[in-house]
Amino acid sequence: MKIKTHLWDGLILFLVAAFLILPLALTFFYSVFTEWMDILPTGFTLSFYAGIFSDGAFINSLLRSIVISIVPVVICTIAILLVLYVITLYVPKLEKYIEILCNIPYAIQGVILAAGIISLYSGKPGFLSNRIFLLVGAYCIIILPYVFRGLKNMIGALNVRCVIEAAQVLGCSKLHAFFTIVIPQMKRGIISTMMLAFTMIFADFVVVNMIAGSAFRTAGIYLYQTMSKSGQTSSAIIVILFITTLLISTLTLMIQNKAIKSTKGRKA
Amino acid sequence: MAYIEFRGICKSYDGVNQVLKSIDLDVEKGELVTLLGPSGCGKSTLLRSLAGLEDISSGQIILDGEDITNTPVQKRGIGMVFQQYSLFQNMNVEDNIAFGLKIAKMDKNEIDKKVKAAIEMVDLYGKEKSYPSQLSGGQQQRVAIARAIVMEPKVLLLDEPLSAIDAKLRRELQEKIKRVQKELKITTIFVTHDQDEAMIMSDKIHLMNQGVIEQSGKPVQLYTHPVSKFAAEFIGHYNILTPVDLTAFFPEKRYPGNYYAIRPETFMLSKEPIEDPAYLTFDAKVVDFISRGNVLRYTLQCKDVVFTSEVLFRSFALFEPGATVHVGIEEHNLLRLND
Repeated sequence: MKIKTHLWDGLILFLVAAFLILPLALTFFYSVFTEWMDILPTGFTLSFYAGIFSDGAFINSLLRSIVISIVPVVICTIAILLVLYVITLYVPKLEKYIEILCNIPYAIQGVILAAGIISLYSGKPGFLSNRIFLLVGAYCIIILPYVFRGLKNMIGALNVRCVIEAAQVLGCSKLHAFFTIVIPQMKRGIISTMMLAFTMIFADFVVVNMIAGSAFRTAGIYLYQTMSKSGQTSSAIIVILFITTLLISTLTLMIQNKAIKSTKGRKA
Repeated sequence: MAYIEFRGICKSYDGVNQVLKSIDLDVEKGELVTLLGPSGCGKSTLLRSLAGLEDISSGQIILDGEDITNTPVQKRGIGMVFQQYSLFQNMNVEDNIAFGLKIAKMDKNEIDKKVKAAIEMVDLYGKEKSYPSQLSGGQQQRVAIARAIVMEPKVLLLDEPLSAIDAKLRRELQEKIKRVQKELKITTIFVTHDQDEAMIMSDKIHLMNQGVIEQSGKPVQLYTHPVSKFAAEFIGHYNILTPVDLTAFFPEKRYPGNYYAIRPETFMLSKEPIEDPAYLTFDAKVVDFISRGNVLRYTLQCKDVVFTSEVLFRSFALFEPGATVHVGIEEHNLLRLND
């Protein structure tokens, strides 16, 4: 009976793993063969990868993608942390209004948001009509609910008011206590939330295409433009983007584990 | 002039309901006083007002001759231990204790010296590098105490610090707190809703009820001479009886006032008639009994009046339910209450 159960468990796991890995594996295989006309592909080559990496435009677009994904995440996280500081310690009554406000972007489609932003700000003087500025702003709005929810849940799990009061009695100011005691305790949650928001933006094509288009060529745009030229090259780009995300996730996980160890991971 | 003076302290959160109603209270230097009362009576609010964590609606707080009513919490020189420990989870024991000293920008060698002394005082030697999550509840609370006393505060405030700790450990910590308090001669205000704890810990108890101080005094004084029905019910397991109830016991006597309190242990129970003229006597029926460790608590009934009596558990139950017992009480143990 037990062996039968294990078999079922193994089968389910295998199917799920196959469902997740198969598309990526096929994409990878397609990117390292020149032809795939029969059951098995023929003509193994790494030339598509070599071509991509020799194209400076791709490296630049990849770096742009990374930068444009990090900047809004950092801005949004700092802003939400400050908002949480204020509503937790000074005006708890505002919490429900902030929550409603932060949940609004859930209901807005990326296309509608991008179209709305363009129609509102295009032609406006100065930095307001700057496409990169608009893009950063749009991304901040898109990730706002996720960042707010992630950080709010984390701060809710801590007895912030009491910890801050304990620090105040010891001579510390509220703000200092928030940044030296509360935020370090939230490190794990902050990193997870930032990673989630980062991957959302990194994978975006719709918003960046509508707001910035060719003016700010990210990896997504580069991929889109390559798709019409070569299927294998675009498959290679997808694999590279996947590996980039994987590397960033691994790095985040390592930082997170370090954070766990430095707080309460050192169990006796 | 007392070391700490609360003068006409009023506090209201909504402008309508008064949490503290014109409290006047003095605490002498070096005393360990307890604010005792049920949940919501205002004891923690009064303590937090002294710490500066709660603004008062009106009144004046004087500490060591200085009016601190409007002094920021950071500058009051007060140490506080909270019910939830409130340790900084991202810091180890040493860093938690040193936190306040570092904020005060004290010399590093001096900090090390003071932290070491505080750790020794609360018996946490060997746990310096442990994180709060690696410590038991009792150890965490000891860190919290060390963190407060290392600052050498003018007053140490303890806001129900032992309520989340199991009974055995609580007794140990009660003794520890008392010992540290006596050693340092630090003026301490302890808040609790546990009357036994208040009795053990305090030099003086202030019993609070609905935002006012109901009765103040030494523990024994409060226990033996409650002034009100509330004090009698809260401090001991007093039997609160009306003059009509007493007439059921002693039909020939008349008692003025509204309420009388009788401590359960002042009743003498006997199988034989009580001949001693010092005792007022009557008969009662045993309804039930329970064992509370070393004490047997009997529920007795005389006519319609049900009351309790406690005797030391020496061998076994002296009386079985349904038995009739002779009950005696010295008249001075019938305490007339004010309300």
